Amino acid sequence: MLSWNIMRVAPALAESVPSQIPWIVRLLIAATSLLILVLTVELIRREKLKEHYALLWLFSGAAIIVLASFPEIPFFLMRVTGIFYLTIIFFAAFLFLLLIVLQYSTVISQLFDQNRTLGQTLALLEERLRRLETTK
Amino acid sequence: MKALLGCLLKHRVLIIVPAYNEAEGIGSLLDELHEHVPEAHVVVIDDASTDRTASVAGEKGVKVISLPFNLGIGGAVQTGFRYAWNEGYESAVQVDGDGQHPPEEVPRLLTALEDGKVDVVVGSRFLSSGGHKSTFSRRLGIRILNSVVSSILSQPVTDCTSGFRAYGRKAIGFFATKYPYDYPEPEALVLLKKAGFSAGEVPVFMRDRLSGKSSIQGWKPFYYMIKVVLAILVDLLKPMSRKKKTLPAGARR
Repeated sequence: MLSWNIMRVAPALAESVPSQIPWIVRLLIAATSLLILVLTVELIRREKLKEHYALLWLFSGAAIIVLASFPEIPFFLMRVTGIFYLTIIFFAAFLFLLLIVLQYSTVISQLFDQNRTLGQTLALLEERLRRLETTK
Repeated sequence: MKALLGCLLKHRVLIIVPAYNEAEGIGSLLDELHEHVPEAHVVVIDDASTDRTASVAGEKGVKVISLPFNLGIGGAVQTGFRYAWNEGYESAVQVDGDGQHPPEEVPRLLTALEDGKVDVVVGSRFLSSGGHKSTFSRRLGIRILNSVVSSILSQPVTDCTSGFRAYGRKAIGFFATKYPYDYPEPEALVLLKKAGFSAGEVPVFMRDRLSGKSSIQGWKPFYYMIKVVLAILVDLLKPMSRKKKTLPAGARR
């Protein structure tokens, strides 16, 4: 019902939506996201990536695989928004990258605070050590 | 035992001198401090200077805390607060290592701290006549900041960028856990207000710096002002818990 309404509002747009996406395009998208997933899991396995920071990567890979394997979802979004198929996929990827970068910013801020406290504590302890050594 | 220790430590004053590459002027500043406030202890926070700041200060017989890397004025002064808190000082005075804050004005700040029953006393160069008043663009920036900070504190503030301040023990404890990073002075006043502390101002003279260069020159006053106003606005948005963050163990007595 909903999609019928939208088609009536924008018939030209609805006609321009292809019923089929070339399989090569879908394969490319699926392969790319599979690569991301495999790389992420492998980095976690080798302990080069903390699970905590890998979660968003795993989500991104999974979400794009879902978009590639169930074309009904991007088709529906195409009809609603009028955005092209590939643009929808790129937009999804872009959103996840945005989240990942945002997460990195919070991590950097946290590290920054910890670094500052650590430097101060080190300097205070050094001074105390010097004092204890000279009073001995 | 603890009570006895507390009695002995009472009225102890720590002068915190943050210094970055001030080897030229720090010696005479420390001499002046000794002359005008002989009863106070002095700690120089060497903010990873690349010159002989630390050794010059050490030769004068004061405590020197050398940071392993440059933390900026906020991080350096906070090191001083943590030291003062750990060592049980009742009050602390910040005197910048560039010599702008004349040591003969320190007693005035301390008297105001005791008489005024406030947690922090700010030395204002604009309440007094004469002395160093800074350049025009800086004064303009400071005036705009003053009006922002005054309205938040709902009390007149004439020199919110002055780092020449005296702190009571409660304020020392507060800033030991939470102090703004760069250009910290105006922001620190807003944090104080949000945490329910009181502040006052006294007129002081300020001098031209004895050595080194200001970090705020040319067009920078405007950049500085905008950055600080933004930081203050963000501070206002932050939820403020009175619950104290605990200091990391280790540096504690």
